[in-house]
Amino acid sequence: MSDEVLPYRRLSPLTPIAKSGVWLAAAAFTIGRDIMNGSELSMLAVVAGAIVGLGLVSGFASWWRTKFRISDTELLIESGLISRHSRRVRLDRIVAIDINQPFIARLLGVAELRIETGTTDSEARLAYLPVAEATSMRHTLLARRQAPGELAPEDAAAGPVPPVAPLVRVPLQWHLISILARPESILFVIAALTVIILKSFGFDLTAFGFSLAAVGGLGWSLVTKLIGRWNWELAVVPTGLQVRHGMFNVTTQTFHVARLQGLQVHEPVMWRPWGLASLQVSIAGGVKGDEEGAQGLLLPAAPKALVWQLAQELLGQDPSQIPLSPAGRHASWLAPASGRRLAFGFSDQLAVSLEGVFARRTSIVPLARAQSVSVRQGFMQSLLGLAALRIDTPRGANPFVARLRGVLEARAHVEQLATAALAARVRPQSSLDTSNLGAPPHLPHARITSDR
Amino acid sequence: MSALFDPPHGEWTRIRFALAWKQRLSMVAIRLVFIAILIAASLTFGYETYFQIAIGLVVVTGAWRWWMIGRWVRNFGYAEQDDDLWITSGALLRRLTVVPFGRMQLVDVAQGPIDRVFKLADVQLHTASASSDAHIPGLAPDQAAALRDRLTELGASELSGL
Repeated sequence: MSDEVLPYRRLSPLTPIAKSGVWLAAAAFTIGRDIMNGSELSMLAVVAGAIVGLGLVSGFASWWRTKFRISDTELLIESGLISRHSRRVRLDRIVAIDINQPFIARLLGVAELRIETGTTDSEARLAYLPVAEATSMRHTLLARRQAPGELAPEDAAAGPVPPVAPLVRVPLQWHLISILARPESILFVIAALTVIILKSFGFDLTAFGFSLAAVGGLGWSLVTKLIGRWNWELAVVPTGLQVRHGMFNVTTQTFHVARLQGLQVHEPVMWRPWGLASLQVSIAGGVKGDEEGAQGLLLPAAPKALVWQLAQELLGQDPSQIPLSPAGRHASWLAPASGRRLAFGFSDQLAVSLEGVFARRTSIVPLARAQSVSVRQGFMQSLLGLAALRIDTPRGANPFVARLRGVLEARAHVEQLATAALAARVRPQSSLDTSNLGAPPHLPHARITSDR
Repeated sequence: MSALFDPPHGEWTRIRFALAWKQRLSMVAIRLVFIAILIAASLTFGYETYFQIAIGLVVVTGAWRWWMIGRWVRNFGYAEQDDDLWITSGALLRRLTVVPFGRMQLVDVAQGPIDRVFKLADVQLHTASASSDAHIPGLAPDQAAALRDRLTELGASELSGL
């Protein structure tokens, strides 16, 4: 790795032309057509010419003001015509570098360099550079990153995945219980029964055609849900966990367990007689094939013991062992029904939050994944001495929220969580391990992208 | 209640009150234009009472905003710790955010044309989370540049833990 600081450079002078290419072509076409026809320039042509002219002037000015430089650790981009903008990208945070060439850029022999870091809203873009320079820039940036060769973790996972024996296969009766034992299904049954009874007593239901359609729609949504979840299988594959399901269209999703950002256990009160629960995970960078991170259902319905065991294996620590404390003393004023059910607790590795009256939802995040910790307090909460505690996780994942905590406790917890998160980050990530589930021993653990 | 938003150690670093003047200026300017339109409309169409009520509302909410802007800017503070950056903000809905240096992905400094008149600059930290809100407005330009430099430097020292 060299430590020279390259001098400030400018983008390709063809940039303004490449950027306004379409408009330039359109204006040239309009003006050209008028000239060819031998007529005077039409109003449209004049306006188009003026707009493109202005665009070119501002384009050149912005090209003139845009400069970039690569140092040993950073990429610096200075830009902005009227408001100055200076952006620094730490090279070791670069996740991907794309070279992009739209049609007009290709004609001009220039290319755009897109530098993606883990953030949601901002990627650094250098548009446009001569193709050769873009390529060499990409090399330079990659070479100066701290961990070369880790740029594309997907590459290792590419190729056909060998078939594996499923870990769990959800039987039909679990599906039926989980789909039928919910409020909308009960509503459907009541509505359907009402229709049948009224019909048998000879009522004319034509006037209620709309409600009949609603009943039918409700029934259909339940059926499609069952069809979609048909033959649900959860299996361990080299890259993590794989879910396959569907009666007609088989959907396969792969979850990179090493990028687990949090999970949710859902225990509706109506499933309680059968002891069922469902398990959802959030994965950074998303489920495979999905760009923007996603919430993925691992198990739509399974016995609680199995769900909690799987959760424990995924998290590396038994979340049910973490002591929970109830919400602040006056929480019931703001949440009359659920205030008493709210609970929160954390260990050195995990934070757990419990909520819900009729459906108990347990959210768990590994502290090593926390991006930031915050407290929020609205006006009513400040009167009651309450505040919400929040752990922000990367894109795709829901932020973790513990509502209505007591103020003093919340403040103490922010500091403790920040420290615990730091410690959990520094510690080698032994936690996210599926080897107990029968996976190959070498799962992709800590790497830059796993940290997104 | 104030204990919840106390600084970790020592004092919050406050931002420049000039930010409040900048925001108040644009708030008042927009409202003046609106009032002018209302007066013009009232002169054209009549219904003076209704327009007077509308103008009264604009003035009253403007006064409220004036006060809230001052409160917001006065409440805003940040503190650099060894491992993380603490930011507090909010006039009514208050918040305190702790961003570990190791989580910073990008640091942006921005200064608009009006900012330049008021000698203000903005520092925006990006983490991988869209919801961690680490934005420090209302810094003096050299202060912003210095903060940015320190933050990128601290980001580097924390990196080992990743």
